[in-house]
Amino acid sequence: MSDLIHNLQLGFATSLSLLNIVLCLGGCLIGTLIGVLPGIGPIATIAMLLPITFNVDPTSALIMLAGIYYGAQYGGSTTAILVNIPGEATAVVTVLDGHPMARQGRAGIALGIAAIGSFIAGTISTLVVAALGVPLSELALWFGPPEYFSLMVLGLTLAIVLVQGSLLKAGSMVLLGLLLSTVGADLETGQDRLTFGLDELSDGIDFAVLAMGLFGFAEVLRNLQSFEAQPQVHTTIGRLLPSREDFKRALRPILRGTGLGSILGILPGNGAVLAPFASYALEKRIADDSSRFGRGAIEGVAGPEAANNAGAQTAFIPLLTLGIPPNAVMALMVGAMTIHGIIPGPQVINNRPDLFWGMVTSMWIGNLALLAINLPLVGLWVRLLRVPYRLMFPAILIFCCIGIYSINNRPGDVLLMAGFGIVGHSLFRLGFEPAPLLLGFVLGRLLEEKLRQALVLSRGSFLPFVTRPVSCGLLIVAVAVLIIALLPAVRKKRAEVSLS
Amino acid sequence: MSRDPRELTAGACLLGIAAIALWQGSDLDPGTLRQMGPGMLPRVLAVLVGLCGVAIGLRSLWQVAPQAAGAAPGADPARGTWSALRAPVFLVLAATVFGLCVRPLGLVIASPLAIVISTLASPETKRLESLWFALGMTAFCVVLFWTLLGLPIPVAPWLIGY
Amino acid sequence: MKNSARTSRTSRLSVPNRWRKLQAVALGAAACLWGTVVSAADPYPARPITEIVPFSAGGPTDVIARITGEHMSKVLGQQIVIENVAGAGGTTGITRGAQAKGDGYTIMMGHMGTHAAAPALYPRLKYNPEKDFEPIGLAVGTPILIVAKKDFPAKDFREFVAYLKANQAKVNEAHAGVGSVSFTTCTLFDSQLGIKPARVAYRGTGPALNDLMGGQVDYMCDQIVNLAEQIKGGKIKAYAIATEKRSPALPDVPTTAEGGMPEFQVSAWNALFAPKGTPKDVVAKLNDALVKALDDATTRQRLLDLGGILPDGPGRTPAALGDLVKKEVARWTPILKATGAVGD
Repeated sequence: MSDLIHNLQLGFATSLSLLNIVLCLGGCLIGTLIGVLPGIGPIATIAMLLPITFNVDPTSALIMLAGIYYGAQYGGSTTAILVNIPGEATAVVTVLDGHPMARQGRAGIALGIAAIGSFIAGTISTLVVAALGVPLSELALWFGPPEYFSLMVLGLTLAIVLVQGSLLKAGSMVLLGLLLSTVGADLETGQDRLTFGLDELSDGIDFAVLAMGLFGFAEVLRNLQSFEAQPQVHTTIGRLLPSREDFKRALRPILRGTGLGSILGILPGNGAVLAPFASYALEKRIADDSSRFGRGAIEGVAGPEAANNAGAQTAFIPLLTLGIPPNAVMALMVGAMTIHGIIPGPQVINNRPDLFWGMVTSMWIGNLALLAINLPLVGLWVRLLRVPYRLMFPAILIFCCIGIYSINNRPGDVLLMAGFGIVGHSLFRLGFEPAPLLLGFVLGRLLEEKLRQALVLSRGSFLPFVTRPVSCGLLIVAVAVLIIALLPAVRKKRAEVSLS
Repeated sequence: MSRDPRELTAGACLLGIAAIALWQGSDLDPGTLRQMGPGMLPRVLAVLVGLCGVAIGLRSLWQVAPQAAGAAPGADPARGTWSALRAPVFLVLAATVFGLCVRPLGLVIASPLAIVISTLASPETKRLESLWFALGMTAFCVVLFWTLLGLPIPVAPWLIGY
Repeated sequence: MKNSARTSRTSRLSVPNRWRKLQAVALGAAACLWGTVVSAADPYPARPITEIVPFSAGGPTDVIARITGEHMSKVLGQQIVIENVAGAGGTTGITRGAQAKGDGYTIMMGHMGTHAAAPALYPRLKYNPEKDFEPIGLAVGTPILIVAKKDFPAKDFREFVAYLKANQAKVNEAHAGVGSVSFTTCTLFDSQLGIKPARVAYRGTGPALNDLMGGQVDYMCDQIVNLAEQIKGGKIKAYAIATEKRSPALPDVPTTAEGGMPEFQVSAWNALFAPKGTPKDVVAKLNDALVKALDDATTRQRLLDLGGILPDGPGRTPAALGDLVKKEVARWTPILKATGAVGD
């Protein structure tokens, strides 16, 4: 314990230097901006700002780059709440209840609770990183392909719980998302699959392209079709910040979300993206009145936001303790560290304690800075909703186009996004919901990869999925979730049948 | 016992998507269940999607269609076909123009073009205002994306080389 | 429609003022643009140079490009802007680079995968590594290591090889995907040993290394920069390094020659290329900048810290790179074609 305090002291001494505070703040600001803008994500930004960091020492460089990363998490939820467009993959769940809250005039409350929840999650998960970083990283190594596969199966069953409408339609959307995730070059043989001969698709469909198309484009289309649907019409600027009552409601979801996010963030291969979905599903399941979800339930914003911020912090654990990046942003951090002459690995924590603890403590400072930046901005964002829609939607469109183009510098991506926009709008008109599709898409790649890896390792046997304890446990939970979700529907059907 | 045409269309669409996926993936080797090839999962998924489509379509045969209020979400029944098509056509056109023009002509041409075209998607557009807005927004985007964020996006290759 | 008629009257009143302001801004902008057009006549390089890196940012090739690019920018007096265009084992970015204008303002960092292994792995490849480029110069080579999970039952390289030969049906080899360095180099290794182990594909080195550390797979071949720290931290075991001499970064790891397999000598070389048709004097300037970067003390040290091998005098010329590409294509094509792995 005293070791921890001593280390934290060392960390704060490093991170509280004027330069590091300025860099941290700058990173968070840029990150928030990036998160708000569609398409452009922390990866592109960090890659671009790498040269700027050449002239400062590695700890300072990493502090700034890390600020961009978790700043983007905050920013991504802002657009999700205001205009129903998730800025980041992790903000997809926030649109489900965050945007309805905005339409009810509670945008300020949603934004506020997102910021506060993220801060609480950030504080707790920073402590987790500090105290449990090393043992947790060992835990991550236990997750082999069978465990991962089972986790993904569990994640997919969560999709069933996410939707309000027909379960059959939700299931078909999940399957469609899975199908879309197979587009691209096959992992083992390198062959192109379902690409229609187009080179653009040979690396698969980019998540941002799909999300911007399904949510951004389709959302604009929907609003243009129906005047009543436009967000400006209904909002009065209500309370700007959450009330005590709101806060009491949101506290436990925040804590639960933090727990989920902290654990899932460590898993390599971007398992952290599952965290907000898991949190939403959990909150909906244990809520006293689950019909509130999808209509502006504050728990549906607080939990997932806390989960994704916690995941963003703990994603640093495998990077700093083992030198293995769990997702693409961390891979970039590896590059940044390497360029500065620090090759990430198990030794970093011993050889460069100032770097390790400086980063850990600056995580907390970053979260504090983000809270301080975002709470005052709530008023500004809410006012932005008053811009007439005829000006807002071209702005959204051009931001989407530029943002999507900037991901891979491929004009084809912009066209693909437009295509998905039409598809998304058609799906909406036919009564399908896009969120399960995105979930299926996001999980699909990992699901297939781990399934095939597990089968190669087991030489074709399906046994390890049930004989390995963690994998078996996860599958049991998945089956349980499915049963619990389907039971009310079965009971309802029975009631309907018996009534008639 | 009335049919729900929307549900029937939904099921048909899913079937269509499944069929296209099966056709595209037909040359991939599925392997066996124990040794999966590249074609296994796409095929299985396509079949499942198709089955869902069939299920939804069948269900529509005896399910009562919800009343007018929720029947076609988002469409104002008073408007005609052109208003229904106007938004998608112009928005897709705007994005397409942007995609085609951004590399050869740069942001300063592609962006205002796309914005102006997209404003045509809404009947509330005011022409002169859209023009100013397009130019202003382009300038803002150039400053934001190119100057501030340093994105390698072509701004005006025919003028300044990048 | 009726609404707009009423409101547009008010907006028309304020138009004259706005119009005047806009005229002023337009004149100013035109003046600036005129200045930049005039300056385009300056000698090379008159504006920033784009360097395409065909892999995602943060990986070894990207890191090398950024380290060398930083000093080259100083020598050339213009910023080298890195553009990551990842995909298809690097071939997407290189295709884009090959099709760029040969005016010296677009160059690319290729490597053994994109310019030697690609023709064999991608039958629909849209470029010819030997014909479609002007070689600029070799940047750095990263030696390949053979590593295994930490409780692999072999004491040294000879035992390792013997174990593999005796148990080839049981062992699992990890690689980072078709077209990656780990895939290509281990293909050579396996074929030289005459074994056909089960090969598990991962999306990138990170997940592969993760499972190696977790003991889920048995061994893999990869660049030193990805593995050195984990070896030093005792999380994985290194059996041999596929170079002539031991690496100063990992002095305890014997060479493959010392371990009885001198025929396995591989290093993943990284080099700068320009599109075909780039003028010779521009290529010479770029080569000069690269050589100066390799000689610069800081850059040199950073590259050596990665475990890289820097080319010496005669190996640094564009001609030497051209010869290397020819040799490597000839070397890798038969081996990779034999595996039947095919991309694209």
